Amino acid sequence: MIGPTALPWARRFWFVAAVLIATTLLAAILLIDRVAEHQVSELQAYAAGGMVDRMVLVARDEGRPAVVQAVARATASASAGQIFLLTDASGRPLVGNLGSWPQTIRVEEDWKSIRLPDGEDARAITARLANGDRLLIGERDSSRLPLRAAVVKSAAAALLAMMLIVGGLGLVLNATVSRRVAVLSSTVHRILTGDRSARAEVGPTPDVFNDLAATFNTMLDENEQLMIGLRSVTDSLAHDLRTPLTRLVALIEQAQVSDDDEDRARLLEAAQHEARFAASTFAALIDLARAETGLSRDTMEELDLADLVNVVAEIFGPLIEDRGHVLELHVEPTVLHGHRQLLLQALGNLLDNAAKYAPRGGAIQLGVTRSEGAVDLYVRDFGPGLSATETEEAVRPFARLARHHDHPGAGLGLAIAAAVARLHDGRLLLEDAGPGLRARLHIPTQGPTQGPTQGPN
Amino acid sequence: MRILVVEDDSETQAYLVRGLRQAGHVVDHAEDGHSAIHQMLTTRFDAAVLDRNLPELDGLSVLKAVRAAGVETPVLLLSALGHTDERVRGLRAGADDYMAKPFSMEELTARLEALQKRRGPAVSTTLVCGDLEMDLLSRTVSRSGRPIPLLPREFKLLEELLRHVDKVVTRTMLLERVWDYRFEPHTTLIDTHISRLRKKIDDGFAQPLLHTLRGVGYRLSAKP
Repeated sequence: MIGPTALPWARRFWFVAAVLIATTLLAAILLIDRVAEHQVSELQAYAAGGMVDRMVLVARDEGRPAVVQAVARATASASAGQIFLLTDASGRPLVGNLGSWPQTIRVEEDWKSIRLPDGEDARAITARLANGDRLLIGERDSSRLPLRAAVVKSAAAALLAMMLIVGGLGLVLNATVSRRVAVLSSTVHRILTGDRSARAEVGPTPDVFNDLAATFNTMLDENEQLMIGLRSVTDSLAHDLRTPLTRLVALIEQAQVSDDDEDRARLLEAAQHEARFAASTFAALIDLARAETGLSRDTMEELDLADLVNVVAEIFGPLIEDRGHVLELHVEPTVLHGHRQLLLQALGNLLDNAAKYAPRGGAIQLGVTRSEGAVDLYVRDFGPGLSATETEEAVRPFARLARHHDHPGAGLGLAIAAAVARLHDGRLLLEDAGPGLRARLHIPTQGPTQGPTQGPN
Repeated sequence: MRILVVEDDSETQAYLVRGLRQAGHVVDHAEDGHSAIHQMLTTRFDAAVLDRNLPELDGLSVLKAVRAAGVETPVLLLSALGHTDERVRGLRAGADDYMAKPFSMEELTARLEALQKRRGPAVSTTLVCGDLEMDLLSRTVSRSGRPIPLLPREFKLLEELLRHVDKVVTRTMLLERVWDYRFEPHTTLIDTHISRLRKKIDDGFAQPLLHTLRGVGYRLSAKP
């Protein structure tokens, strides 16, 4: 049994996913660090600038001793990273925690990156005081490290926690999907190993998987139905073809041993009749199969159904009259995109049936009507009609209703009519017309049904 | 007529060749698509019987090839695929008629002869058989000068028979040509039409014109 994670692409998927996640995580942390560093540096620049401005005012108003005193006080209370330096105009240090004026910075600079004499990097603001003295106030870069570390650590922790939650949810989801798909695949497996009645379990809640399972089961039901239908067709086919073929062989054998020319001619003619019967049964079956599978769609065209009905009436008129019925036509002008040959055949079969089963002397109605979104081709007789079970039985291939065994016919007529209706996305309806039976090819049309196309006015 | 039979199954081919020769035709034969094309391009035939399924080059391709080369020989396509859609495909490819296997020799011969007739030049407005006359313009029929009123369906049927006067017309040919109806589960269908028509044109006249050939079809002829 193949598990869902053992698929060939699964391992590669996880590897790619891991690389992507790690890269994204790293990029996010770097970005957070950069932003944090920048923000802290801005704050430091603001503080240092404030201090420089104050010293400039002190120098202007109170002179050098006051500035020296203020810088000394600030130096004494400075945090680890703060740097102070006051020199005279020539650059000789007066007070501060820096040994000498750094080479890399001039006077009057604003938060410039510099390298300190002890080799460390820092940022500083410089200014020239009223008496020509120079002042430098700054922060070593290392002063920002603890804060940056704290931000990165907490960000990384938060991201990691999020990843774990998302990953966990993903695994749970994956397991759920796998489990529920496995239900379907085990059903398929059971069917493949011969248990045709196997169906997927459908849970009570209406979600996508239960919907899928239900649709899946419907499809299986349909397939089973088709298979049963096919089996009954092949069984009946075997019977309906074997009978004429057996007779054929017998007739030929008799003809071979017959001495009488006339007798031989008669036997051979009978044999020919049997062979033709077998061939036409077979042709009807192929028509049925083609109509069932929809292979005839490419030869569909715009049809004038009124014309179609008139043609059928012309062909079958004499036959119906000879059997003592009266054919009544009800025709509305109607256009349908359909298969002319197959619709002719379907209507012909319905008429033939009506002519066989309706009592002599009655009327048989043949017509076409259109309504909103559908057209109906129908044949109605005033005979005994069909019971509900007979109706269901009648459209099956080879069904020949028990009480009509005296009537000839291969029993494919209604099945072909039903298949032709399905080919047109419609249905064959057998309705109790009280009295009589109405067989109706009900064919839906897209949009409002039209009469025959009129030429431009 | 000189007829080419293209059929790869030797039994069927022998049956076809023998049957057509008995009917008085000169018959050539080919077993595959390539030699069929070669023969049709080099020899002038009055008709060809072409099997739909041939080894290598199938019947439809042969048909398209010779039609593309300008050969207008009437072709009857013969196929084990009896479905109506196959017929449509065959006719689209340039066939003049289409028959499904199994077929009867009489039907095939009748259809081949009908193909000849159809190619004939005469465009006449009157069709005649003995003392029976049909005027296609006024849509009237008379026999020995006496008018015979016909229903439209009877007129169409008689017209088809008159167009093949003295020749055999089968039941399926009539259903196909008069109504474009190509199914034959209803064997007595055409017989009912014919018996009505016969009553109208033959009743009361000494010489019958409409003859039934048992198991084959009908023939309209002034000869007995």
